[in-house]
Amino acid sequence: MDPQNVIDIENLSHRYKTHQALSGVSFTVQRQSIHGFVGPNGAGKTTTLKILATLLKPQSADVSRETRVNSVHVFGQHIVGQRNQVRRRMGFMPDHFSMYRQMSVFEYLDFFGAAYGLGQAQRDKIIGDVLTLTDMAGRRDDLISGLSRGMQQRVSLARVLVHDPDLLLLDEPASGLDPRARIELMEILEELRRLGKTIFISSHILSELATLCDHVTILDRGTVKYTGTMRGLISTADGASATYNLTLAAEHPPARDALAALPGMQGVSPPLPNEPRYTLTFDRAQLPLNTILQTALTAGAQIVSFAEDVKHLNQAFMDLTEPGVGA
Amino acid sequence: MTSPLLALFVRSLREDTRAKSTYWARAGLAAFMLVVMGLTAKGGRFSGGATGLAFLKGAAWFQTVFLTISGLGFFASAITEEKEEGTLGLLRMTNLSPLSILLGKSTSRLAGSLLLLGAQVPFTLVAVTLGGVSTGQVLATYATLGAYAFLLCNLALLASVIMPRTVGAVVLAGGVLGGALACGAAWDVVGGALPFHQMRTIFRTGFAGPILGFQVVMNLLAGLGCFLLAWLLFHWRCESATESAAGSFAGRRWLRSGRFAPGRPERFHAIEWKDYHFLHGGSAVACAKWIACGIVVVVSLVIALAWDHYESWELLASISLCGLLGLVAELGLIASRLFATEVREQTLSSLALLPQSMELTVQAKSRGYRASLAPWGVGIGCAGWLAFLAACIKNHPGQIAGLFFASLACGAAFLLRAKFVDRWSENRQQTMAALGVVGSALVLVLLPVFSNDPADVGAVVIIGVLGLHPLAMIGFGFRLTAYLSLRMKRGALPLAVVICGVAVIVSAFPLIGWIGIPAGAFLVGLTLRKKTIARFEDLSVEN
Repeated sequence: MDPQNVIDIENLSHRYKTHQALSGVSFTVQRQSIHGFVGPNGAGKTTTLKILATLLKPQSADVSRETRVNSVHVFGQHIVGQRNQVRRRMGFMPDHFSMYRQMSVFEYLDFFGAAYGLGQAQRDKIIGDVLTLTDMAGRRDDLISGLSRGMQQRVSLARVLVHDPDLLLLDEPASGLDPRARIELMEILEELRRLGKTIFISSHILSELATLCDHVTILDRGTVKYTGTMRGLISTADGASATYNLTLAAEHPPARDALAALPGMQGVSPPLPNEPRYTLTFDRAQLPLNTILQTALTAGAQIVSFAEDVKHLNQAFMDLTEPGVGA
Repeated sequence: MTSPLLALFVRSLREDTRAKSTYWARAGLAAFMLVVMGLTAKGGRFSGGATGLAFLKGAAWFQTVFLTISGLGFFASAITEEKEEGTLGLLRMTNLSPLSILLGKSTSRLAGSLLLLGAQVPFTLVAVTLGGVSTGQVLATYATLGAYAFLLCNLALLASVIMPRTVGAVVLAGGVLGGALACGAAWDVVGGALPFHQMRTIFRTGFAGPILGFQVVMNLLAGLGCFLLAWLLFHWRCESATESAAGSFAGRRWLRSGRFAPGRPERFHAIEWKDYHFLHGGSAVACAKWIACGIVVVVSLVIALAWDHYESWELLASISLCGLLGLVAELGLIASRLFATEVREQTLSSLALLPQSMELTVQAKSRGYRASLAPWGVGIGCAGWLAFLAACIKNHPGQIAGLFFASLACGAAFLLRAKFVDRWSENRQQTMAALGVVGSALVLVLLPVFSNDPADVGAVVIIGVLGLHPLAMIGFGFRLTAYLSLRMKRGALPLAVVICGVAVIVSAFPLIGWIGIPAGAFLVGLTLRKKTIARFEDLSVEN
C-alpha cells in the first residue's frame, strides 16, 4: 500500500437486495489532492462515499464474480477494523442538509466539537478558524433555520472541519447552490487543499470539477470507467500517438507537405474550409514537437497556435458512460 | 371529480384504505377485545360477578385511557407535522382552503379512529350473552366513546393550529383536558360532560338512560366549537408557516437567553446536552415543570392537612399514581420523538459518524431525557413525603414536627444553593430525579413505622409488590415506543399503548400474568434495545 495514498480501494463490490450497486471498484486517492468522483445518477457514487465514511459496511467478497479481494483502506487503516481511528481523521458531508436547525451556528459547531472530544479552549479556537475560513464569522449567533441554502452549506462544511480532519468526503456539495455560491465553495476547497487537506468530492457534473480537481474517477453502473489525472481524461492521445492542432495565419500547402513527409508523422488532415487549421497525428517518441514547429517555420508558414487536441469534458464523459439511468 | 374542499380528506381516506396497517390495527383491536373477553369470562367463573358487565367495563375503560393517551399525540400532530416539515406553506399555495386542510388533516384521522371503535362493537355486543349488561349499555358506551373521540380530535386540532410543534400541541390539549377533569371534580355540570362520569352512570345495573345522553351532546358541541375556533385561528397562527416550526420555536430568544441559555456542552457529553436543551425544552421547560410540581405539592399538602375524610395512604397512593401517570405520558412522548426526530431532521448520519459505537450514542440520547424527567421524580417524592408528614402530624404531631421542619430546611438550602433553576447541569437534574425516587421509597418504608393504622402497612406491601409491575412495563413500553417510532412514520405511540395495555390486563391474572409478563417485558425489552440500535444504524445509512 502506497503511503502517499489516503484512500486505497481494491475490488470493492456492494449489493442491495436485487441491485448490484458496485462491482470490482478500484482506485486510489493521493494525499493533498482534490479528487473528483463523477458519474451519472445511480452510478454508485453515494454508496462508495458511505462505505468510505464508514456508514456502510463493505460486503464480503463476491465469489461468484471472482472478486475475492474487497478491501477499503483510509490512511492505511481498514475502515471496519479501525473504524473509530478512521472517523477521527475524516469528515463526511452528505448530499442533504444534516443540521439541527433550532441551534445557532456556534452552538451547532460547539456541539460537534464536544462530541468529538475537544476541550472548550480548543473548540473556541477551531470554531473561530473554520468560521473565518467559511466566511461565516459574522453569523455565528444566527439560527441555522434562518440561513440561506448557500450559508447552510458553508455551516455544513464548517461542521466537517471542526475536528480538523485530514480527509474530506463531500457528496455533491454544490448541488442546489447558485453560481456565485458554487464559485465561493470551490474557492474554499482550494484554500483547504493549500492547508494540506485531501478532498474527495463527488458530482454528477464533470465540468463543475474540471478546474478544481487534479484527479478524477468516473463511475458508471457500479464500475470504474476512468481513474487518473484530469489531463489524462481529456487527452485524445492513444498510447504512443499524439494529436495536435496547428493553426496558421493562412493556408500554406508547402508547409503541409513538409509536415506530412516527416518521419513518424501518421497523418495531416486537410485544413477546414474557413480556418487554416491542420490536425496532426504522430508518434510522440519518434517525432519531437520542436521538429514539427521548426519544419513549419522553415517552410515559411506563420504559426498562430499549436496545441494538443483535447476533447470537450462533456464529450469525454459521454464517451465513457452509457446512455440511460443505471439500473 | 372531488371538490377542492374534500380533496385532502378523500386522499387521506384513500391512503388509509390502501395501507395494510389500518387493517392490522383493526384486527389487533378486535383480537384484543377477544382476549379481554376470554380473560373476563375466566375471571368471572371465580368471582361469580356479572361477567358481561365486567368485560364491558374493562374494555371501555381501556378504550378511554387508550383514546386519551394515544389520541392526543395522534390528533395533535395534524397540522404541526406540516409545520415541522415546512410543508404547510406549500399546501396553502395550492387551491386548498383552510377548511379543506383542516378537514383533510384531522377529520380523516377521526374517521379512522371511529372506524376502529366501530369495528369492536360486534365483538363487544357478545358481552350481552355473558350476562349482566344490556344492548343499550353497550351502544351507550360506544356513543360516549365516539363523542369523546370527536371532542379529543377537535381539541387537539385546535392545539395543533395554535402551537408550532407537536409536543406543544399535546401539552396544550392535555392541559385543557386535565383542567376540565379538575373542574369536573368541583362542578357537576362539567363532570357530567366528561366521559368518565357518564360511563360510571352507564355501568350501573339497570341503566335505562338515553344512548345519546348529555355527555354525547356536550362533547359534540364542544368539539364543533373547537373545530370552528381552529378554522378562525388558522390564518393567523399559520401565516408564517413557510418558516419551519423548529425555527419558530428556537426563534423565541427569551427561551434561550439569560437563565435559560443552554450554555456549552461538556466534552464527550454533547449528545445529552443537545437532547436536553433542544429536544426536551431545556431549562425553560424544566422551570415550568418545577413550578407545576411545586403547585401540586403545595395543593396536596393543603388537602392532606385540611380534609379529614382522606386516609393518609389513600392520598399517598393517589398522588403517586397521578405522578406516575404523568411520568408515563411524558416518557411515551419522549420515546416517540427521541430517535424519530433525528430521522426526520436527517441528522442521523452526522451522529453515526462520531468516533464511538452506535450503542454509546443511543445511551447518550437516553441520558439526555432522564434529566428532563427530574421534576416528575422530585414531584412524586416531595408529594409523597409531604402527604406522609401531614398524615403523621395529625397522628403524632410532637414527633414529626422536627422531621418536617428539618426536611423543609434541607430542601430550602438545596434550592438556594442551586439558585433555583439557574443553569442546572444535567447531572444535577439526574441527581434530583434519583433523590425523588429514593424519597418515595423512604416514604414507603417510614409510613408503617410511624403509622398506627395496620391498613398502611398492608398498603405499603401492595404498592411495593405491584410497583415492580409498572417499573417493568414502563421500561418495556419506552423501548417498544422508541423502536416502533423508527419503524413507523406515525402511530407508534398508539400501537405501543395498545400492546402495553394488553400486557397490563394480562398481568392482572395469577401466575402467567404476575410472573410471565414482567419477565417477558424485561426479556423483550432487552431484544428491543438491540433492535433499536440496529435500526438506528440502518437508518443512518439511508438518512
